Amino acid sequence: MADEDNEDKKIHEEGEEVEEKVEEIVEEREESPWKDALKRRWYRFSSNPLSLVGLAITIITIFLAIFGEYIVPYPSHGGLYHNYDAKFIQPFTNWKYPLGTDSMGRDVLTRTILGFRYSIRMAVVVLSLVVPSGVVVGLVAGYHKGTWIDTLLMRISDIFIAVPPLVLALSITAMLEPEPFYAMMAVSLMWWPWYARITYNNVSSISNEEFVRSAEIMGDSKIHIMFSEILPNCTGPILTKMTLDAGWVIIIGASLSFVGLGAQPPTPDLGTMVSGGSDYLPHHWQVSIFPAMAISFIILGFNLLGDGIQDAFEESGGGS
Amino acid sequence: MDMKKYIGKRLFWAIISLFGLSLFIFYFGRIIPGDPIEMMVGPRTPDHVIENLRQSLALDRPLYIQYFIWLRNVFQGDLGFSIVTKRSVTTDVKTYLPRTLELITYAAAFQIVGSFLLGIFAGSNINKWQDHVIRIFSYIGVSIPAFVFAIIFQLTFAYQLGWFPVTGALTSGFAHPPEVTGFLGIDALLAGQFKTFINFVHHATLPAIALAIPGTAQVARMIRSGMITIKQKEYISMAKGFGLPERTIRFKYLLRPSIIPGVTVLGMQIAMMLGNAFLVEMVFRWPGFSRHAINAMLHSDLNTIVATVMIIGIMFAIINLVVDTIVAYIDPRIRYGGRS
Repeated sequence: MADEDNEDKKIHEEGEEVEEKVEEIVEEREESPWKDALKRRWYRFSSNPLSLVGLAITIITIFLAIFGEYIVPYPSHGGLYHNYDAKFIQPFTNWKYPLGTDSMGRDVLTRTILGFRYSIRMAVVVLSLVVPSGVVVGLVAGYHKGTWIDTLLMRISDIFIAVPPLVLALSITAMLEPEPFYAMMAVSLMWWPWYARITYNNVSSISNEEFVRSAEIMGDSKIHIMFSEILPNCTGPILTKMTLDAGWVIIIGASLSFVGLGAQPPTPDLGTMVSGGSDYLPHHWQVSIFPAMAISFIILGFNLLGDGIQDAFEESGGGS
Repeated sequence: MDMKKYIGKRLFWAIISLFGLSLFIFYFGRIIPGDPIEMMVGPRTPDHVIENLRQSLALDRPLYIQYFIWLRNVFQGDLGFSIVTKRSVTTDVKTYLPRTLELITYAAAFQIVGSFLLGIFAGSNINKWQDHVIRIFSYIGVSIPAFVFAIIFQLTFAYQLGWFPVTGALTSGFAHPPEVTGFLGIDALLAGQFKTFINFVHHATLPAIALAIPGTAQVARMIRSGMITIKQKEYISMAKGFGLPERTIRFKYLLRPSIIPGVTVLGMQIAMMLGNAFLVEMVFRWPGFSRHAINAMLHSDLNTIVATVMIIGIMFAIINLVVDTIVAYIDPRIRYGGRS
């Protein structure tokens, strides 16, 4: 009997210990729910090697965009430098110019690396303008679905979605000046409705959820419901779209300079270089193909990263 | 709400959007600095000529009146005068637009077939090698801009391998068929000039594929992930539990809802080709409307720019309307509206 009593006591004590531990963990999680969620998301993100590749490419891209001019072999080749004796050196034939030279004898490798900055700048400026504005419009319209606020806001945004962004961006830039600044403004003007739309769609389905209804019944303010109850549940799709959009914005920016409405030569903008180099096809392919590959490299990075983020935010993970 | 009412509503809002767009682009074109008259005439034109021209073009009237005059002219088929080609914009549109539409139709055919085949194939073989190959293709497809594809294709298949012509729409020496519809391919067939038709299609193939690939990859990915999402839904397990035939589950419960996002994006991608055509036409020197429009843009030809935006806008609206109809047909939830 005594033995059994002892054992019971032991089990009881062990149980208490476990309970204490659980409490500790719960407390810890309650103290830092963000840290915990982040940890789980990172785990899901990093379980796909492609996402890590995307992250690595994006880090390299951003590094080159910031420090490119300090590591390139010939910083002066980014401008009007010319050396006609060294023009059109084929790639992989001369170790001084590993990727060859262009029509003015400038190093293609140098100019391609310098081009990263212009692409990233485009993405950063455009996204930091369009994401906040689009999200707020979508949030307000989506929460007021079916009212005149919804109609007004979404119809205005429809005007800018009524034409492919590239066409309107081209037209607006053409009416202003062919300059990177105007190109960025034009692209931003075209882009915010897409954020309004994606937020709107998410919000209008989330608004039907129980927790929003309960918040409404509890008498929470509209602003509180929109920004604290609904918005956190849309961050996944918005963040994913931002990363994927960085790639799209870079494509549009490169396209604008490709047709001659963005950065002008001798600026080492990737799109401008592809376009200028296409005059020398097929013999001097290096002048346009390497910058073209650089654009694709940057966009690939953002796409892989965006998919990884999407996986991290999806509850069930999916297969991608 | 039935189908007709739903489509009627979409059509109504599409027209409102187009009016909004016209208002925006018209005002934007007028408020930017620069006198449109000075762009049209030379520097030594006498003042009274400029004044006369200003009056005859109603440029001395208030902006909203100018807008209504412009709108009235547009409805009468008068899009103004192009300072680049020195003829009416309507004539330019008639000359160049059919070539672009032909290219886009051809590319859309590639895109629809390609994206559904790849997407469904990948979605049915998740995490097998077929899926991985298609995924790599779709990453490449999404990440490479259309104009880069255009240049790479031109370099490889036209310059190096010589399988396709490098530029243009017809080999010089081929006479243009008599104009009936304005569409070169159709006109050639109507005139019975099959060689011309083949030559035309041969020229159009590379640009069409370059135009189609980015969208194809995007849509294939959407269909694949749509299938993955739907496969995990409880009603699929339930249907399996009920012992419904595999075929029914596959087509009715799995495929139908999982292609909805794909169809929406497909429509959007086909519409986006109207934009990408600008770049691809430039690379292949395709004698289409987009290349003409770029030329006009580089010369700040206001009337052509405004006309381009409006024409692309109208075509965009038509494509979107067709897609909305198809999606509403597949997905009854949309037809009957969300909340309530």
